[in-house]
Amino acid sequence: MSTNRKVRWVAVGVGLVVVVLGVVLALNVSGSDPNVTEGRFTGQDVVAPGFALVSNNDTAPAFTLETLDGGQLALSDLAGKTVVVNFWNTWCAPCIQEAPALREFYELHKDEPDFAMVGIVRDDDKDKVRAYVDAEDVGWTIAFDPKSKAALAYGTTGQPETFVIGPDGRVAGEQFSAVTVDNLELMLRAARGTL
Amino acid sequence: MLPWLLLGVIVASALVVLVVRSQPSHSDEARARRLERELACPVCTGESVAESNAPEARAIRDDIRDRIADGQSDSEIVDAYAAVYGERIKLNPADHGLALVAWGLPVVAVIAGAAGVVVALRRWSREPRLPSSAEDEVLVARARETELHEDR
Repeated sequence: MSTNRKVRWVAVGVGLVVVVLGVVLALNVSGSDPNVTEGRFTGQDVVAPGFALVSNNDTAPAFTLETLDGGQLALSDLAGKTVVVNFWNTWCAPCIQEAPALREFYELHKDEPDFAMVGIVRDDDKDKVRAYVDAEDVGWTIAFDPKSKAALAYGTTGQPETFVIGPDGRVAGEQFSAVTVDNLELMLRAARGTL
Repeated sequence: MLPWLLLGVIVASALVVLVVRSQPSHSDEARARRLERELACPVCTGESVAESNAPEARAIRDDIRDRIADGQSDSEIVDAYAAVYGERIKLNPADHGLALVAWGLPVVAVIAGAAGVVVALRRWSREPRLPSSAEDEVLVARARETELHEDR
């Protein structure tokens, strides 16, 4: 085989490898907005960066946690209700930032018999949580997730993160970072099927 | 032939030592640490669960040990996290589909490179380093004749 032919074969071989690698890379590059965090339940209906009305409709993971008043709360105790689950803690600045929105939203819906709201705390000090709840007059149920089992089951990637679960037990909305009243209302309507 | 045999024995011995020493420990703690290195921190981009200090990473490190104590296998544990966080939590490429290219390509490259070295070595050993001209052949023939006469 002449030298020219050998060089050609080598060039073709190298070219093929580069093309294959390029195809593999292109297929593996995510087409989604880098500003949107994909979550456990996030589907195609992304409303805004970090906020999604879910499309995969997965069942909300169960949890049983100790509440601030020493009782036990299981998600199954709230079956049939629309449940807002908010993961937070006292040392997280966006959690403190969203507190007024959560309070306003809670006041709007707390008397509805099919509504429930749970704040789940992990990686925090119980006394600090109690002091914060008392100082800020937090009216909804607060529960502790000391080993972050519930947080991991929900696929949290930080806090605050808020999930809204419909009466059918499926997650209808998910928000990363501080919520607003508008976003909470959207998720609530999605969960109730009234969007 | 002997140098090739010797080279083959040395390479084979090195491979055996590599394979034996790279066998992972199966203790619970070793498994936990290995899994921590195989999972990406869901919060901190570019860090493994082993490296990250994010609360989720710390929680996953504890959770891995709980799952091992529960008797779950490595693949069950990894799949459980992938079910929650997606395939992106796996730091190792998947072992099916197009991701097989990531596993196969380095092996193919090593084999192709080794084959290239063998072919080049064999060619160099067969070909004379410098081709001789007609004058060179005449000179050598005269030198041999002179040597023969001197020996007599």
